[in-house]
Amino acid sequence: MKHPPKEYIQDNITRIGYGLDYPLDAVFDIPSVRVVGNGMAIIEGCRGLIDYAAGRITIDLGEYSATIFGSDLVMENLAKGAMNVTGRISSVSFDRRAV
Amino acid sequence: MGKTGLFFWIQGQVEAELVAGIPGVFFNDAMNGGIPVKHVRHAGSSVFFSVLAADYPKLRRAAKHSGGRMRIVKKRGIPFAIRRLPFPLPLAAGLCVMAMVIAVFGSMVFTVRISGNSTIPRAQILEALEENGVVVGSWQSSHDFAAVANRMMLRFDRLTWMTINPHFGAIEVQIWDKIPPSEQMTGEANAQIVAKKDAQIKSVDLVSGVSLVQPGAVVQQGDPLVIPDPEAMTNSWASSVQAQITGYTTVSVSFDTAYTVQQTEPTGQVKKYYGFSFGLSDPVFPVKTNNGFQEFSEKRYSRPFYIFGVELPLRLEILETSETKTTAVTLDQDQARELLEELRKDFESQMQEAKILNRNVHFSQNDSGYTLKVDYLLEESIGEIVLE
Repeated sequence: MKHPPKEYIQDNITRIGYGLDYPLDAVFDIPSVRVVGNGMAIIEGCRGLIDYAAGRITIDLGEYSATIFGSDLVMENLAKGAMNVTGRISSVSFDRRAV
Repeated sequence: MGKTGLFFWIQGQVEAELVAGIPGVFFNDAMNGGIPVKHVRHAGSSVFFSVLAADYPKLRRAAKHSGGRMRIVKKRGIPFAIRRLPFPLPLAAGLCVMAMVIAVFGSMVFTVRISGNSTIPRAQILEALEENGVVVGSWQSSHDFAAVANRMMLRFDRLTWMTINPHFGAIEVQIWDKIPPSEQMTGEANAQIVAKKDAQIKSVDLVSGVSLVQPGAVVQQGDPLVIPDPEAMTNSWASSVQAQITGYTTVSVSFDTAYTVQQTEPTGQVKKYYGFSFGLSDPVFPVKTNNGFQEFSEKRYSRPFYIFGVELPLRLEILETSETKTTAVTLDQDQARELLEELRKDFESQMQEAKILNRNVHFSQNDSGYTLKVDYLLEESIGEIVLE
């Protein structure tokens, strides 16, 4: 018997997850960016740091990169897989990376 | 998540500045190298960060790769604090060890203080505590003292109440004994109170039952004093007798001694041995058998140690051996009387239940030695419960 492709299974699980309001990061190993108020961002599943400037931190999330804009940005814990950013966060943007 | 700030402080951390270089490249290399970095921030044109002191040299390659260099700004944590101490490291280590030992000893059971027990021996209480797991050397936090107290109250029916309070290195067991009134007689159904010895009745304090005697009456051993109430017996399934009956009794006691007695006296030679004991453990003394004395008596006492008013489980034990010599002494009348009077006082101190109202002392001499005959007039409980 021929097994369905992996993408097909993943798409279906994703649909079910959406239908049940289930967070995707609980099902798949997907990076997540959680912003608490405008003072803290918790990034899980980060692969590395792309850029760090005074008002901008760009984080490698695999297929995407996330850029946190703000002022007085401090990376409190910097370790592979997890990172905390504090400061006055003004925006977060995501860009698809060429993998 | 990364290691906590406390972990950094214990291990020792350095606050460093990345001079020139590309921060993104530098911190990316640090992340990929598995080196935890904390508190990365921009200050002007510089980037500051904190890293474990042990990891700092590993970052040099990353700094070089980023085209910059690092500079230590500040050192923090226990390893650096120890180096800055104004006294030598062994002293600091000793203080730390002492603090730890005190903390550990304080949270263990080393001493058991028992108070309030008048009927239950201390050894029985210690045995019951041991059965419930409360032994010397165990952690105080591992015991539920309220549950232990409840179990012990169920075990000892002579307890009214007890509490176990943990203190620094010790537990305090407070006991309220259930002391039945010594003269109060409580009987089962169809029981009666009879006179346990010949006496003249002083008082009858009746709780239940019918008294057959009045104060002033002379009774002989075995005479009934209180019987159950006949009405209560017919109207109820049970009847009891309960009364407090005191009477005057007489008793004669003789104390004898021979003309010649063996007398042991100290010679003045004393040797002391010092040892230590922890909690209830047996004291450890050096070898004491070879003290050079042919005859000696031993006396042991201990001194507790206190710190800030709190008794430590450690005690200094002192064993004092005094040389003695036994000689045969021929007593004259005064010496014999003095010796017999001491015996009489010892005997009277052991008479707990009876109250001595009067005594007649007669000292005499016969063929075998001296005799001190004492006639006592006593006031005591004379009631005794017997089943019909």
